[in-house]
Amino acid sequence: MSPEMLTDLQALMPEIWLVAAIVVTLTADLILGHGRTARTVTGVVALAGVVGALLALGEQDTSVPARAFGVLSVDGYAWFFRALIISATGLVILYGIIFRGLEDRTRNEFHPMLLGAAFGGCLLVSTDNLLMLVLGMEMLSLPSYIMAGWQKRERRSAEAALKYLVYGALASGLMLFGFSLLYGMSGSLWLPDIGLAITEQWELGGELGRMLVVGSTVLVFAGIGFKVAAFPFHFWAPDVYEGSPAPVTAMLAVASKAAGIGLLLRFVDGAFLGMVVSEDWLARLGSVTAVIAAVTMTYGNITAVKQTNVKRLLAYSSIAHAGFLLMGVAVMLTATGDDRAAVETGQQATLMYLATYYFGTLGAFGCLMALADRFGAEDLDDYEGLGRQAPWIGVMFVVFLASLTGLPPTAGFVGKWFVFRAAISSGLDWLAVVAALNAAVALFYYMKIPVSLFLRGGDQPRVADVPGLGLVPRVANLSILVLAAATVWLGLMFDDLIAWVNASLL
Amino acid sequence: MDHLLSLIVFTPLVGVLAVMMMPRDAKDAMRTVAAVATFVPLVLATWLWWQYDPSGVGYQFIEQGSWIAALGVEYHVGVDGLSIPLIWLSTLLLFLGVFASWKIDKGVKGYMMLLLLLEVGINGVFCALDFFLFYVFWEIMLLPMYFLIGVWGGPRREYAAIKFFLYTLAGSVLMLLGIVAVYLAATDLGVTTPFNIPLLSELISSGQLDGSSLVNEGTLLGWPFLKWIFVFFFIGFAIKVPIVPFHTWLPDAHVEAPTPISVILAGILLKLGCYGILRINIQMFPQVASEPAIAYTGAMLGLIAIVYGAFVAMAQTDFKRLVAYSSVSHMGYVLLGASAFTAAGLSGAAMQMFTHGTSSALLFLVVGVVYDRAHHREIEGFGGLANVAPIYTGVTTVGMFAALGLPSMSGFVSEALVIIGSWQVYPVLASLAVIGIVITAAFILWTLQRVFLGPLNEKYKDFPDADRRELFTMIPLAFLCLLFGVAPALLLNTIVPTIESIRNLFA
Repeated sequence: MSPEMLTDLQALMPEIWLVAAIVVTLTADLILGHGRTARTVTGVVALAGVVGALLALGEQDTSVPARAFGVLSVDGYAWFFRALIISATGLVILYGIIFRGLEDRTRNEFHPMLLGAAFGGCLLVSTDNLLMLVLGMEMLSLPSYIMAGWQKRERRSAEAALKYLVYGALASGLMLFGFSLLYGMSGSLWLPDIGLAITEQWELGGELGRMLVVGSTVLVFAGIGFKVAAFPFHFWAPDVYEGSPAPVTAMLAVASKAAGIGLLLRFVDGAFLGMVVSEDWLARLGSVTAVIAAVTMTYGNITAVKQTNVKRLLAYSSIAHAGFLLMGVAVMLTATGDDRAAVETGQQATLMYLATYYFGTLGAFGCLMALADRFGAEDLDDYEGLGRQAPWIGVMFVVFLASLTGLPPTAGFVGKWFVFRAAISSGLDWLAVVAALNAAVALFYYMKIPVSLFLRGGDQPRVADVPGLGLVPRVANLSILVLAAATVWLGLMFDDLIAWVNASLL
Repeated sequence: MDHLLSLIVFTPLVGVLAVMMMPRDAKDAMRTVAAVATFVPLVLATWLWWQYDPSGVGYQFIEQGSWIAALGVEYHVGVDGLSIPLIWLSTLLLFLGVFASWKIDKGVKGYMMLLLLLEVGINGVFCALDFFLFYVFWEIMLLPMYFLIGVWGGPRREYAAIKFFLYTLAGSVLMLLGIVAVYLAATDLGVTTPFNIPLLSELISSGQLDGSSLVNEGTLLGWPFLKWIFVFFFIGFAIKVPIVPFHTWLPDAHVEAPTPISVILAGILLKLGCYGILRINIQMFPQVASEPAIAYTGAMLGLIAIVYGAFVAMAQTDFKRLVAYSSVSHMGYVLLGASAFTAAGLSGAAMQMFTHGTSSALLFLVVGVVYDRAHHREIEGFGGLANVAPIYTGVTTVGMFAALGLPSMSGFVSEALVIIGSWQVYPVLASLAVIGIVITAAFILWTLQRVFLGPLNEKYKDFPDADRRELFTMIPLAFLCLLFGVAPALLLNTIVPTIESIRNLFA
């Protein structure tokens, strides 16, 4: 083995850990059957794989960007997204173990699926090669389709899987078609080459060249739009989020969305901003993105107001958050000429928002699952009075919802601050005002949850379905507590977060 | 005492942690801890006022240190003659509030934690000299208040709580946009601490910061940048005050809130809006604020609040709703006086914040006593209570006379100052404001008559007089109403030098 190959493999260590865990969990399931031992072993191995991956990631030095195998870039940007995806997967594994909706028979097979999706997400955010992008995307999507339908006996779950598969396949198809057009233009799979080709076609290609550029961009954006559930490519999200088992929903809302955003930013940066592209083209693309951002957040929030199922409510709210994430992308595209500082402001805003969204959403889903686990509660009506029954979970739920709303002193406020700042500083004042109004709407429906938890319900205590808490639920609750503490801490002390994000910019 | 302000702000937080650790059933112990955790800030605030040097220039007891270096956010607190009386008042009302809450038996643990957390937010806002810090404290108050109304409130508490929350949040996101815009404009000037309120005030009032780096020639849609920002802040604070037409959350919140929370809401939270207008709108944007059209609009809004609030109060049949609307009316004086920019007007406005804080808090305690005993608040449903509860009636009379502005009561001094101060600039508006005073006198005397005088309603012949705990919460406030009516100089000596320095901005 050549030394280059060794360093390349070194860069892939986190992914290798994930793959190793996949192999071991699959084998363990085959050998040990479906018993208790098998469940313990697969769970522990899956968690160990995640921890190993995170440790391996921790050892990577990304201060000097490097490439591995010619197709993966090992930079701070990839590091940031891999850290989010892998750690989120770890929490989802933990949630999956306590989640009652999964049948014990199939629980073991759930772990390789999750790890596989995480593996795909990691590849997706580390590459600037179109072929690798497609592979990563499919590696992420295929296990997700299967996991969405994991509760085989539930109609909603089956419907979710089918819907997700159909729309996901359509999205992949559109994106692939877009990629093929790009490849046709440039003769290369490498994003910077494609950026060059786009400029050339736009400037010199005449009518046809411009149509090609617009067509391929729209196709690629549509594909990514599906992945991050942005308007008007969002309509799969509520049904899929509601129908999927809750741990899978958390995975889709956090890891999958993070991967989509990671892909979008890298694509925008590599294909459009790397070269001096014609400004009016970028400005147009920027305004379209800004409008999509505004419509996405408004649509998501207004539809969320009517929801009574908590999971569905969070699903619509996560559409709204996609709108906030897109604000930063709009800022990147609006930055004129070679104003790198403005591009970085937009990128920084999106990354900051994503990092804070990560804590709020994972935590909120954790609380949702904890309440579902102990009380079998799913709808707002079921939540009535539970805050007094389970005060810790209730209070933490409020913290996460406050963060998702963007109230200080929680992390969500910091994220909102950065997207507002980016929008105002690049002249998108109207977008900032729309976003601010959206924050007030979001408060209205997020607060329905605390209203049910604390304000409603008689004084008779509801009997918990599960009287005592086992070890795993305790660990899961503890991890939620850690998330809650981090949410408040990052709302007050975010110097390190800023430094980390700044080191992760493309 | 290098960290006096921090101690005042964060001592209640220690109380929060202590209560959190205690078992759910140790109710009395939790109440005692809360009492101690609010008493310590009261003592410290008294010491603070004692140590404060009114002749000194600018902010005192300053603590400043880097907090979020990447954004230039600082932990920066300090006080002047405007904030000191309010800090003292808030520590006092919170302390009395704990005793007024003694009988609350449902969820004592959560209640006390939220109450203490609320105090952190309130005192933090009064001390903060960094915009970021200011905003964080401002928002820290939101959730505790929401739950205090929503969980421990009356029958329509859910509606009242969410209404309060939505109104306030809508105001604060506008404020946030204003803060972001000022921050960006300041960073473009190369300021390394772009949240520093005194520094920003200096830059804006001297004309160095006009937003021309953000928007073309400093104008946006035909309005100067600074005017937009001014309006954003003004609406944000106006909702909190509340100024008509943003006032509709207040009566609902008051009626549904438990007594101690009404006391704090009327006594302190409303003052935060006024404080914001004085500290930010007037002190940071003096040019915009003193533009004739804007100043006149402000005075006009103040007048509308005074007269409208008084008329609506008169029409109420619910005792608590009546006091709530009278607050709307009284807060109008603050705006009217502040919009005049005269020494008397501004001092009157600042003093009115304090005096209304004592008299309205007292009146809400009074209403609470009636409600505890009779379980209703219909003004017409009582009568002749003076016969059975003379002490209670006496205390009530003090509060009511202070509210209507009887000479020798604190309310008289502040309202007179406001009228005198605004007379010099807006004689017509000032004379119209007198209508408000007359109406206020009318509805207060009428209420006094219907509830306490006349023949005793037989239903209440066993109406017990105020007990010791109730007197303990009411007497200090009644005493303050009298004290600052007889010796307003005690208060004005602190306020006036600061007001003079604000007025210098307009010279």
